[in-house]
Amino acid sequence: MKFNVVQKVMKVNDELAAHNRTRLVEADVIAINMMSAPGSGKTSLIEAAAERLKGRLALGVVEGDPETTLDAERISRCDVPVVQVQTAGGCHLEANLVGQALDHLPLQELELVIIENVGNLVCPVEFDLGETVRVAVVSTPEGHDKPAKYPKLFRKADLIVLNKIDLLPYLEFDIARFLDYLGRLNPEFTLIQTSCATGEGIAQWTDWLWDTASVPAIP
Amino acid sequence: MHELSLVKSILEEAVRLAEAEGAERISGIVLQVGALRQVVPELMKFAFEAASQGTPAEGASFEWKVVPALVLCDNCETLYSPSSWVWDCPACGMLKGSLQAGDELVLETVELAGVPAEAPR
Repeated sequence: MKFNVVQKVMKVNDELAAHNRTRLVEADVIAINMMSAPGSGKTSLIEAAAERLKGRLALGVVEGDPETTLDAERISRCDVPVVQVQTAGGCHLEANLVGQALDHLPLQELELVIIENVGNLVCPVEFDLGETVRVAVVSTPEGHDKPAKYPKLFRKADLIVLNKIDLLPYLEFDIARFLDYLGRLNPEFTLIQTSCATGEGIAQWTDWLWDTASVPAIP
Repeated sequence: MHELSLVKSILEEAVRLAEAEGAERISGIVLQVGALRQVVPELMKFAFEAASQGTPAEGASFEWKVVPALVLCDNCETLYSPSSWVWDCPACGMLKGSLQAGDELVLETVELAGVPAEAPR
């Protein structure tokens, strides 16, 4: 006997994401889902932002990694409340894990929460966490073709950060082609170019965070 | 590789239905998978076969229908199937559109075996 179910497989995740979103809106907190490949510099960008926004913007961080608390240790040295989520091998964060992490952050005191997803350009894109905006980070050693190879992430991103631009003289990274790929995915993309090594572009990155956090949280 | 966690949700829903209907076992699952949904149905089938061991769904068939991508042009509202990762409207060339179909991941039907006949009224 056949039963028509017609139900989203990720119904539970979507419901939990909606719950997270409601909690964040009620606390007037903007949440950023930060996605990239492993090693592109997400944690370094958060550290740089925490440094510059100290005393100006109440920041909290959720760190997602398959193992270790190394990233949370780095962020806590910046005097920022941080929760480490260990996915035990999982390739992405899901809304239930983020919900549990939010329980451990002082949401009422915060203005901005950065959720650093597990390093991966495919799976995190498929899971709504309840975030307000999405940031995609790509670093120059990864190559200029990443937007074309992983279109879904870059098409959906509210901001794209090109990190490690200090390495451009040593790489065959073709920035014109990178920009062309991004433009074909979204003609209105926003790009910030940064180097955590030299500090170039970090002011723009933190200004963007500041501006984003200043917009009222509307679901 | 998030297919296993997705399969567990499917399995939970099918088992819940089987229990509600008093069925002996689950004999088939049919999914709708969007062409742009980043999952590999073959991997899901493999994960389903592993995860269903020892459950009422052991041995159930696992099939899927691929839903082609359809994009609505932001500029001229033409509905088209993108032929590559670039969504360029065939009518006006606009590169911005919104996805109308192709992102599905839906449990369409569950087939149950050994469902008790409805009690005569």
